[in-house]
Amino acid sequence: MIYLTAENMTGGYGATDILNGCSISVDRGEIAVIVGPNGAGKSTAMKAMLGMLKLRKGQITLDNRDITALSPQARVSVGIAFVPQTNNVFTGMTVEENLEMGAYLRHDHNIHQTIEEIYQLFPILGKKRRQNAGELSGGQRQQVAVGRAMMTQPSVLMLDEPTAGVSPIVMDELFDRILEVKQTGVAILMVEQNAAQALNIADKGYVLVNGTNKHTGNGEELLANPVVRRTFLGG
Amino acid sequence: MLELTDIINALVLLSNFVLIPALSYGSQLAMGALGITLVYGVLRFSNFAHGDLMAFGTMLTILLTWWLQSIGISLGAFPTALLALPFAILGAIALSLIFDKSVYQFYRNQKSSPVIFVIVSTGVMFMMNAIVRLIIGPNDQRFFDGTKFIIHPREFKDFTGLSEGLAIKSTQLLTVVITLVTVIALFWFLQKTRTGKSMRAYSDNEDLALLSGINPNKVIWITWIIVAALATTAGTLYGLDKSFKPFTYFMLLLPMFASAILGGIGNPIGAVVGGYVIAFSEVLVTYAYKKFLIYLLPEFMEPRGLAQFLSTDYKFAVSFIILVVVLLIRPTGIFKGKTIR
Repeated sequence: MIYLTAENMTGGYGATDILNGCSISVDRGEIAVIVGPNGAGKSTAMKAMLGMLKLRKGQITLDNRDITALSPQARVSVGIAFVPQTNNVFTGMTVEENLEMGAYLRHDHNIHQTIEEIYQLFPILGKKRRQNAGELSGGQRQQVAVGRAMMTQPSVLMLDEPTAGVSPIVMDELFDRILEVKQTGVAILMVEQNAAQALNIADKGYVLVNGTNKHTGNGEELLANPVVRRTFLGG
Repeated sequence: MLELTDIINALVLLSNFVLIPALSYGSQLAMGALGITLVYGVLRFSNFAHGDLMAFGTMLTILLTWWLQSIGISLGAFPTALLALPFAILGAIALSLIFDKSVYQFYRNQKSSPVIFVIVSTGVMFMMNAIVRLIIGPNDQRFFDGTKFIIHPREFKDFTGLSEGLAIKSTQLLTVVITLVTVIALFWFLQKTRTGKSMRAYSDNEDLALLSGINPNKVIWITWIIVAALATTAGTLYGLDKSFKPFTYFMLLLPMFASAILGGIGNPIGAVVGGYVIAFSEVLVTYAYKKFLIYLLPEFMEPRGLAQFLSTDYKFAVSFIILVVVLLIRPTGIFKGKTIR
């Protein structure tokens, strides 16, 4: 069984379903990317896997354990970390305090060691550790957001459009960092608007349309698929 | 000719009636405004019951002080109220937590809008108002004992030979010292401890705080505990310095809110700075400068009237005007707090 598996997810916020039997899975040391047109239910699918959406049908397992009934907080404590698309840092707190808050659930004494590891991964954060996160640039803020999520030493990292609103250069750098996180054996699940670039670094891609899986494959396959290219990647 | 003694006399006069009173009044406002700003930052509403929470806490201090005095316990040179204060704080904490559990929590679960919370806090205000009046009555109460002056005006005059006597009341010094210690302790707590940081994180970004595993109920309870302690301390110091009257405490709501908003609501440093700015404005504008000017100006320029900008009856107008101007020109306040929604 794949490490994190969501099967046949069906549900929505109100009377109508946004997800209609959507299935997504990702293994440790792998990057899975969810792409698709606006309103396809990409973010909703990810939020359902985090427990922020009540499902009518479907099952989510983490390491063969059924976590469908767990609250988002409980899922965080079993190893799933989430980076929201917006408002994903504590703007009035320093970079280091942001990381400390990420480790709030941890009660061991190695928090500062983890902070040093994050600084190695994102060197700019080490330089700006005493600066308020709200004063940083968009790309640096995203790094704080990812760093905060990494502080729980998660086995799964979920990112909701991490490159939204950052320049192409910053996007490339962020993707490089995400590839480094993958090397540490974390399972990474991303929702992305910049579909082509995201599929480039993905081991697995899911194209969602109307809350169902339309195309699935590894990144290269999807990039090579003429239908996918024409409909979602702009030619 | 302007003589040195005239200048010194003028300065002593100004310290007596402006500098020292404004400093102690500003400290009391600062502590009150800190409570308002913390409730706004963490619970996200303007707490109109804050003045009456102060009255309730102070009432407990007074009752305990009277009881201690009746069984012959006192603190010698210090007011007995200082001994009663910690127990009064516990009582005010209990009342705050009871109101949170029985009233505010319901509206939190409903995810009510901030406007609803303001109205709810007004209801709580009326209830606290009634509780205080039922127990201690609406009248003026004095509960100060111990040494009144640290620097006595007559002794100062005899010692220096000046015609103006400097007066520093023990309550004024106590107010400033206790405020300093409390504010330093609070800032240390908020900046350095895990729990304090979690309060700031929750205030900064509630959703992200929840995602980080911060327990919202714990944060809210700790906030009420701190707010009740601050309110009781501020109220007791104000009562020792002047006197205790429930209606006066209700009226303090205006300058305290003006302080919090002027400094930037939700920002603790802003609340402290705002408290002093409001106090100094109020005292400076309502002080009659006649005697002060007589010391400094040549005889033909001496003022005929009181040389007072505004009668002390209108002192609340000062806070009100500052409040309105800040909300019009810079709604986030000096230190960029949150805007009031």
